[in-house]
Amino acid sequence: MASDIQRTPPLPPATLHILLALSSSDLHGYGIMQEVLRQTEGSYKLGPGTLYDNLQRLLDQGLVTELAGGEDSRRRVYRLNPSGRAALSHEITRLDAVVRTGKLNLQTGGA
Amino acid sequence: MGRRLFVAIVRLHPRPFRERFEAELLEAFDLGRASLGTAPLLWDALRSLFRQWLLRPPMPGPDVHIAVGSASSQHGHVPGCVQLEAYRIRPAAKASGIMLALAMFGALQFATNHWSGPRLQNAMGAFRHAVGLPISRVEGPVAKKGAATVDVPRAPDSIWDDLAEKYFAGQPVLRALDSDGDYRLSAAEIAAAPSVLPMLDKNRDGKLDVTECLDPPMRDPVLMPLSPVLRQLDADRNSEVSAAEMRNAAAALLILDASGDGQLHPVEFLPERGVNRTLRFF
Repeated sequence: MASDIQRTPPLPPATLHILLALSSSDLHGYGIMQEVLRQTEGSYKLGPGTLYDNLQRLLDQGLVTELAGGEDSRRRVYRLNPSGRAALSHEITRLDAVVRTGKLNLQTGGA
Repeated sequence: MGRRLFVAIVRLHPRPFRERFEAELLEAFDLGRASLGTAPLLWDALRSLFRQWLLRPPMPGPDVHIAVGSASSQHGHVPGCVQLEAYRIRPAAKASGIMLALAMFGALQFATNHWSGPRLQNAMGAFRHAVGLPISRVEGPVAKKGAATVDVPRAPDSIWDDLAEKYFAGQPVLRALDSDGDYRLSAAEIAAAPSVLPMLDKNRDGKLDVTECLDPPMRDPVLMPLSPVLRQLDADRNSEVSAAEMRNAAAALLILDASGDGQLHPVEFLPERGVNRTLRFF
């Protein structure tokens, strides 16, 4: 699995934000949209089409699991799998390296 | 209005996706339209529609299990089982295939109808020759659009040699071009045509007229176009082969190379009438 993740290309923004939203708690679809809005302070608005298009792919890839709905069967809850968490972690590490390199280059260029 | 549009767009999604997420999509739309706006959500649904049909792999349908009766199962052992994956080609793939096939067909039609240059003729001829199809002979002024072609099946070489021998007897041009006398015009003989043809210009007027191109009793300007070779050489159809036409002789002759092998076989330069007579026997 680790080697698979190493080969994983950078995650698309929508996928990254969905995984990020699910990393803190299990959420239903609209909850994910709200959480993304909150985390990005309204700068990234995730529509339902993009959300479920990505959720379908994440479910198929086994990065996210669908939990049975509670009282309202329409509301299915989604949970981040260990493999999804690992993919998110890898992406965060990659972005962290990008940020560090960017900061360093900007500082060097400004000096 | 906005919701109806959203529902319509959702219903255009692939069936497996729709059945799986339709209720949640509508709920998310109802809850999110106040904060996110109707128009952005509709645009988002349209983008999802595009991605689902064109970019996403098909969702597998339910697998089918078929128990296979066997000798062992009849004796109380574990029955054999074949699993058939219910993989279906998605409609978008079918549509893409149909469009691609139509585009290819259209391009080929356009090329054959509007670009009937010798290279295309030769390429098509080489292809037909390679796959064993009858070669297609040009029957008319190739320079004009829509030159008709006729399919010519193959026949033993001896048949063509007999016909060619008789035909060459009245054709000084062919006799001059066929330097090795094998009744075929090789690539070298075709290439040498611009230098060979001026030797037939007995009256030194810089062009070949009917008296220099045909032997009696065929010496009639009306008969010149009946010879495929002379028809190609006499590009302007004035019953004379001018100096310019002689210089262009190699290219003009290669137009007759229906098989695309760079040389001319009797089947490619004998008059259609002779060819058709021969065909009756095959």
